[in-house]
Amino acid sequence: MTPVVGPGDDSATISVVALASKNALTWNDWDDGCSVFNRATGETHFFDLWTSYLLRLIDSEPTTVESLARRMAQELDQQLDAALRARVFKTVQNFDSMALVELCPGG
Amino acid sequence: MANDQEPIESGNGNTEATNALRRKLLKGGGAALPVMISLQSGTAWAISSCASEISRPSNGNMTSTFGPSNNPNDNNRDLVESITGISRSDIDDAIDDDFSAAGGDYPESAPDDIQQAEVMHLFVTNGSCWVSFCDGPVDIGGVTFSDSITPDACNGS
Repeated sequence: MTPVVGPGDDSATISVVALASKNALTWNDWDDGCSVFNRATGETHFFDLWTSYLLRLIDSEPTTVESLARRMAQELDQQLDAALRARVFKTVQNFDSMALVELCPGG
Repeated sequence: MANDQEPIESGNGNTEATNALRRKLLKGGGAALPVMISLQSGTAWAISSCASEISRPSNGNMTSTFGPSNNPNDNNRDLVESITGISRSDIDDAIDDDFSAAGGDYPESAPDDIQQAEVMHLFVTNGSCWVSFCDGPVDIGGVTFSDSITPDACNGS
């Protein structure tokens, strides 16, 4: 698979973003965001709506950082620019540090 | 955040929940700054006001989460303080309180000195469940959770 070219361009080393443990997340939706319990780590996270939506997209299917940025732009009426790509990439990195997702290196 | 909402538990890849999120965002519901808060499992937070009781944590709940007050090095104290501003000494006060005194101290009767003095609210993650021990909104890092957030799926677990 072709590596994603993103801001930086650290994301170029990432090919696919996928949940670290499928079916390990328990979601609860709130007005201002979502709390997510990760059975794999035993941690509970609270995310704002935007961050929650991004994780939902990853939850639905493995994808790429670029694809995530495009979907966020299209579905949320946001401009697909370097700032959005950077925000998506940074958030994905944060998900990775929380062991919520796996970043598969491109090659 | 509304205080009377009920949490919606939704599974992985839940399209309806994803669409609901999208609708909220399109209506301008997105936070100005990203909010990503992580809570350690089994951690209790002393937060917000506790005007009445639903069910309250036992002394065992408190000590298993924070450790005894004479051993106040538990990292959970730091976590609570950083998130809520409730001080380590306040947490120790709660742990020191005599939970077993019938009809007396917290949590056997309300109001009590802890509720009046410390305005405690305990929020505990417990596996996939979380329990609000008090009837009232809970504020975590500026994010308000609603009342009594015990999903049905958690009952009895």
